[in-house]
Amino acid sequence: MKTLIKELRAERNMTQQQLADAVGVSSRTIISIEKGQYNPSLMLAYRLARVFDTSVEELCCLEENLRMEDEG
Amino acid sequence: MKLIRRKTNLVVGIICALSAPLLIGLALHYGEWRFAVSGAASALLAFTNIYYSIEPRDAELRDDERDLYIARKSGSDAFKLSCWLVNAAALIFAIVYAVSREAVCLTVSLTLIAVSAALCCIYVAVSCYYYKNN
Repeated sequence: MKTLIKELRAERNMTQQQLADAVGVSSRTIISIEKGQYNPSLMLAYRLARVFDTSVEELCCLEENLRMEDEG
Repeated sequence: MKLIRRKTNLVVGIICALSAPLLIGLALHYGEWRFAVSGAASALLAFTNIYYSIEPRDAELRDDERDLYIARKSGSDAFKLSCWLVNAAALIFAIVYAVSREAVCLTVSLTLIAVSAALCCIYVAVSCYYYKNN
């Protein structure tokens, strides 16, 4: 699943470890989410959205992912 | 800080630790190597279970959802692979028996079939449990 986590993290000059510490997961989890290899749980997605002061829909590109899923 | 993190492993470790000297004693008394092998395996199981019962590593896994997900997926795939291997081995030994008529091959094949059936029953029981309770 595509997300904007990498872009938003770069905008705020945060490292993956800093973001991981902020939301209570390991840096490996953040790396996997940014690569699209792992989909965050609802609570983790909400925590990430709060860190970046955005909505879960914007952060996880839900419209785009839904469109891709329907087309695929 | 809790010393014992997994009670089940501790109980299994204690049972194995109690049975190991018993089996080694039987091996010395009867002079049969199978008791010695069982005793050594029991001692090894006792050590690993007791160590695992106090190992603190699991606390990290509980906090990270991806690690939990990977642990569950790994366990599921390892179980499926084990079932396939047991079934394949049972079939191979059955074919070897059909060709060679060696009784030991039939014994091994039937044992593996029983193990496969038990694994199947366990899988169905666990699936029913999670289907009902989740």
